[in-house]
Amino acid sequence: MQRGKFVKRRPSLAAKIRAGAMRKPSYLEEHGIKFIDYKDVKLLQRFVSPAAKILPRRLTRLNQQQQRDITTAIKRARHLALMPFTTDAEAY
Amino acid sequence: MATYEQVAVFDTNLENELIEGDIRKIHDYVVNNGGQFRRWERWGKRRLAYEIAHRQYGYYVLAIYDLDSKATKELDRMLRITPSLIRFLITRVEDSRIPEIDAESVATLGAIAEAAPESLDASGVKPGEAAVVVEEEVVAPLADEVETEESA
Repeated sequence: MQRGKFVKRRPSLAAKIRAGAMRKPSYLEEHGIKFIDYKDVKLLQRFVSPAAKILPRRLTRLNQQQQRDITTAIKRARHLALMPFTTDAEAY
Repeated sequence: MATYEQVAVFDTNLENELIEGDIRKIHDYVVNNGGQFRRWERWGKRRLAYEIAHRQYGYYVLAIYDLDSKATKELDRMLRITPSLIRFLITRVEDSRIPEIDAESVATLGAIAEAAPESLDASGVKPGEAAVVVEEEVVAPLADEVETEESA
């Protein structure tokens, strides 16, 4: 590749998926959920890993705002002990 | 005046009367400070998702009320020094999501009848009726569930 010369690259498959053309809708989109309630543990559980960690946006396919709302809701649910912080190395 | 949602988790190892007393305290505080309850929910005794101070269970109570922000701040301070509470959370309810006043739950679940004659009169429920419901729905499940904890 020549230095200083702009070379247009074809988008990679991953980039295409991220851009939306081949993207599967998120759970919230699919079900038309507008409001995320911290008391709705069943919904929030879809956005955590088996170890109860919050999944990254890359996996949840949420937009920035939704991811933030989900994160806040999960943290509130954790505070009230409606959801665990982690299920790793469970003592019992 | 704004609408707040409050979830409180009480220590189930304590006497029921103590928990009811603290629920009544919350109720009276809101009413005495010009607040208005919109809804009460009693989720009852639930297993905590993780142990808190060696407690495995908590008694969950939800309340939604309109209250002055200053009074809410003071209530928050009050709850923080309430020893029977394991956890609590007060959040602001978005204007678009404020629920209608659920008079029945306010009258029956908020506090034991004699404790809140004003709210009962306001909602048009006779104190006698409300008192019966309180005994059945609130006091009875608590008593049952305390037994299950001991066996578990």
